[in-house]
Amino acid sequence: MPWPCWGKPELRHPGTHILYNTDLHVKEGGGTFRARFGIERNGETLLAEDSYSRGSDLTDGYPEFTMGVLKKLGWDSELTAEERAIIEKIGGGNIDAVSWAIDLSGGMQRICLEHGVMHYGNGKARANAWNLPDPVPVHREPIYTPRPELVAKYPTRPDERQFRLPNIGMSVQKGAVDRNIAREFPIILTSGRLVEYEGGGEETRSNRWLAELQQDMFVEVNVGDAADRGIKDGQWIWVYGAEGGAKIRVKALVTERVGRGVAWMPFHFSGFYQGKDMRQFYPEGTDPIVLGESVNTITTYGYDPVTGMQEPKATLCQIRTS
Amino acid sequence: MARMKFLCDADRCIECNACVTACKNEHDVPWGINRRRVVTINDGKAGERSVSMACMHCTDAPCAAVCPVNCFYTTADAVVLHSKNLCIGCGYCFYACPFGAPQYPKVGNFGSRGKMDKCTYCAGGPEADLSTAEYERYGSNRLAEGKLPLCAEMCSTKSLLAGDGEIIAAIYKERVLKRGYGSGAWGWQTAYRETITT
Repeated sequence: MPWPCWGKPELRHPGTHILYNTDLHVKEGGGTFRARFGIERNGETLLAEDSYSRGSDLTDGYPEFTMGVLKKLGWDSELTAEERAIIEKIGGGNIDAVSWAIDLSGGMQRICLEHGVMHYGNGKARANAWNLPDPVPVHREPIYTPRPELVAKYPTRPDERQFRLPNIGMSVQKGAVDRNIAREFPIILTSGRLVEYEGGGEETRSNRWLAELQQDMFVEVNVGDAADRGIKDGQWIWVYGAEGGAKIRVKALVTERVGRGVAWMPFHFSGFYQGKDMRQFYPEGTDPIVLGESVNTITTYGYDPVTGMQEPKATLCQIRTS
Repeated sequence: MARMKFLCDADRCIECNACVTACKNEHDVPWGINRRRVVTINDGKAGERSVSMACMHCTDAPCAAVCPVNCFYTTADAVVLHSKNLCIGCGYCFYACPFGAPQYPKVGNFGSRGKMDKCTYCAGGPEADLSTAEYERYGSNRLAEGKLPLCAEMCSTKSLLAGDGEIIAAIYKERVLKRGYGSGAWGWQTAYRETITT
């Protein structure tokens, strides 16, 4: 997909595949690195130096565009009366603070592109994200880790209140280590996508061509783990989650694609809950053709400290035939 | 006239099933009938390979050789088609076909087969081109509209090629020369009694 496309349709912007490609004019898909982190830090500029996209009227770094920036450059005179009226309406008493991102007229974007500059500014890339809890990523063991002995050295972040919610990841991690959860649930569980389905799968599992291609929820089990448990390919088995006695009934796909001690499941299924078919609870005519257990019935606690995104990719499970 | 062929470059197939989905949607093929399918060998192991298979529209097609009612015919473009009016669902063609192309709806008592269904190279059947009767029995007729089979047109990696044999062979040759490897045009020896040498 040629995304993002800037400006209105009549501009016929081709899309920006590489956001910071300075070899092209911004109207032809070129761009700069977004000036997203302020303009100065510790006395050093955060704007680009000696770098700008081809054909740019500004031959240096520049901040994100607001009406104030537009005025300083004297480009605000190029706004149409209609565009100006919309910006004034949005800005109320403080028109200078209206940024391109909330300019519903699109006028600021249009003028920037005409001048060969990027409305989101021209800044430096950064490797040190100083406003995040871990400015440079560090290793932290998952909350449910198969290597509990590493938790002391690589713990998750301390419990804290994030926005209005508590995040008690460290307490949960410590509890899992204390109770030796990894012994009871020795298999690493992760999840991912199938090419046929999208997201939770309700729409794609309702498409008869796609549903026919993937008719059963399954778990990929390593050949060795399957042999230990007497599991045959295609057999219905139970996968147990590390929290609250959760379990799901899925088909086994015995494969070398996953390593020993690792299980993988697609996350596109729902409609079965812990072995029970829930089809009768769908409003009439809305039940997808294919239903199956949701992998997240058995995934566990864990939230990103900044975005609140849940942690469904690294946890533990046990697999048994019954 | 062109000699229409299929070519699946197994070094490029990513098993996305876009060809299968395109085919089913274009011809409204019912659940359980697969005019085209993607076969994967060594799934999950090193050297995993996928190939998209359908009727290859063989030279001297073996299905036609065994058909007791002579329902098969070859078009001027060398596409192997059949008449569902003549087909008696005996299943001989299924046993003769080296590619597993013929498909049968399960209808009637005692597991009796219905009329055979297979890939038409998007070229319809013996009924009048682009007629409703043709669409209902065989699906759409893209060739009559000057278009190539939709499976190949929709192939996300251009692994599956359709068109005149000489043209697609030239495309494949150029590809193999440029990238420096190629496992050959799968099924060509069986279907067309020739291979592509590079």
